[in-house]
Amino acid sequence: MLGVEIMKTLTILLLGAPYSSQYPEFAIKIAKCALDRGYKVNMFLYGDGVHAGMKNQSPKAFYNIENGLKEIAQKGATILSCSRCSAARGYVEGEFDDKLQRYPSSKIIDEVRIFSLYGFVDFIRESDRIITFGGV
Amino acid sequence: MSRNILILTKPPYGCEEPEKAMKMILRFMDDGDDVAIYLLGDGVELTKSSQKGDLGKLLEEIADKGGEIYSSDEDMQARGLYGDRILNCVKLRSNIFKEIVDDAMERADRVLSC
Repeated sequence: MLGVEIMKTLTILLLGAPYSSQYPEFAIKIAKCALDRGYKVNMFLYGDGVHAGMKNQSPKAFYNIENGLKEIAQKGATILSCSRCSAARGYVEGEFDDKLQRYPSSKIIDEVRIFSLYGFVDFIRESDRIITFGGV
Repeated sequence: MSRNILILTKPPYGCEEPEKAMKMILRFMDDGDDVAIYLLGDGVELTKSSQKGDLGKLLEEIADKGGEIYSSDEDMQARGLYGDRILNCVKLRSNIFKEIVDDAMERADRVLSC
């Protein structure tokens, strides 16, 4: 064997909305630790979790989720947001853009890509571990 | 034998998940599995020593049988939980997220959360 260590992959499924639950904060903190340890990290925003990707968040006393997502994306995390959940909440503003591989939205940060639920299927396929945060 | 870890974030008594999850953990232990519980957010309220409800006893039972119970020190402090206000079976952790990542990625066979 070549002795090459293959990077393990962690996928975080985020179902909880920012500022009404602590789940987005937990998800970002776990993602940061995993990235610092050298793991590949994916995050999928589903249900009310899609609100985490909204632009111009300015909480007064809480941890800023928008900045947290930008930070983990900069460290290499791939962040997808469910297209149907996003459309239901008014974030999708047109047809899927094949070139950019995302649905257009002026309300969502560039670091979060609105994509079909099949994106989560691919995440599951490539992951060694999945951690879920939130849900009813 | 496998290792199952539970990330518990929901408040005890406010919803039924913590009780259900702990009873499931006990079943895993009956089958000889290794378990660890990580308490985060409102989940840390499960560690209160003064609680009259039965959920703290369930947590102690898990610890007595060899389960590991870890709780986020930061979330405990935020809620005024320290010293003799907390159950003895709880191990405080200052960077619980790092420990969850290490456990989930390198040791655990299964990660559950509620």
